[in-house]
Amino acid sequence: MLEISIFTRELVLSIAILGPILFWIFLKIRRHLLNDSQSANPLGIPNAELFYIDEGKQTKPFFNRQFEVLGKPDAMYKTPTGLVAVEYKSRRGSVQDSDVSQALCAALAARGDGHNVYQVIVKTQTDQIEIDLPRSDEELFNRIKLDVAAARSIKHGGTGTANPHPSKCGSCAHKKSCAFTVA
Amino acid sequence: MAKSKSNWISASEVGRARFCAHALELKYSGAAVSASAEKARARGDAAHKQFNTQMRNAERDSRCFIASQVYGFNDPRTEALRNWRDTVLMPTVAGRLFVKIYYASSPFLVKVCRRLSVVNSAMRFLLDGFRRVINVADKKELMDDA
Repeated sequence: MLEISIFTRELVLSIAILGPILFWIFLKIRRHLLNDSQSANPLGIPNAELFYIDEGKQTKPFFNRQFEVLGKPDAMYKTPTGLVAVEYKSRRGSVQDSDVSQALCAALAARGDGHNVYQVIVKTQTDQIEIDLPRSDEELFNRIKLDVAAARSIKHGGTGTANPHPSKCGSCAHKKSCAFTVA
Repeated sequence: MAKSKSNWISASEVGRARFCAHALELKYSGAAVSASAEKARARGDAAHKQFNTQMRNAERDSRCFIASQVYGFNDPRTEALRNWRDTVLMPTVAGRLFVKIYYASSPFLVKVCRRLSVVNSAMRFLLDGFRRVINVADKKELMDDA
């Protein structure tokens, strides 16, 4: 009787100690198996293959002659549905509207050269968003046309409205020359 | 300001116009770029290169956590173990299961190796021995084939 109770106590102790460890190992293996089945790329795009990468100055930009915009996504992944363009920002913090505009414009440029970009991923070191693109180029252009018009106007000698904000001015390359800075 | 007749606009200009149109105007007018901004750009370029490398490495399954920790990521010994994984383990179901279990457990072992040099040394000893076993098996297989 005494032996049984000692055995039972040891069994309970073993389960109490080994149980959580085995459960932890199970969770780890399960998480890895799930991750492996989804994707191995750093952006988590399922079934994707690296199709294009911006190597810097030696990589030529894409041109969209209809809308007269050019640009280079940082990378493009080929998926069964089409291409996913990636815009990478090395800073920490959330994705900004300006990052999205740049990414959409680069995607439109890539489409102009015949690449079927259907999604854009914008990634910072701490944030990542996915944007599904409209099928029509006109609709995609409409999303950025105000920014394109503003850039074009400034390029032709117009003035640009200041948009002062401590975080923006702090990271602006021209803050020392700017009369509106709040940095 | 130098006016441009070209209508072409780049994606980065569109992004800048959204960020702050006046900053784009200052850029076109040739306003000086601060030294801190130049440094930030250099850091950004380096981070982009690193990200590019990360994406390329992910294309080929370059995980071999313990060997990378013990020998180094690009070491030929690590590369040899990756090749062994791809050619010997991955073609079989049991091998793939082993690789998955290895991937599940090795990040923890790597952490231990980083903290305790004695474990790192022990791992190196074990891996060296394991590599010798693999080499012997490979040579035997070649001789059998011959």
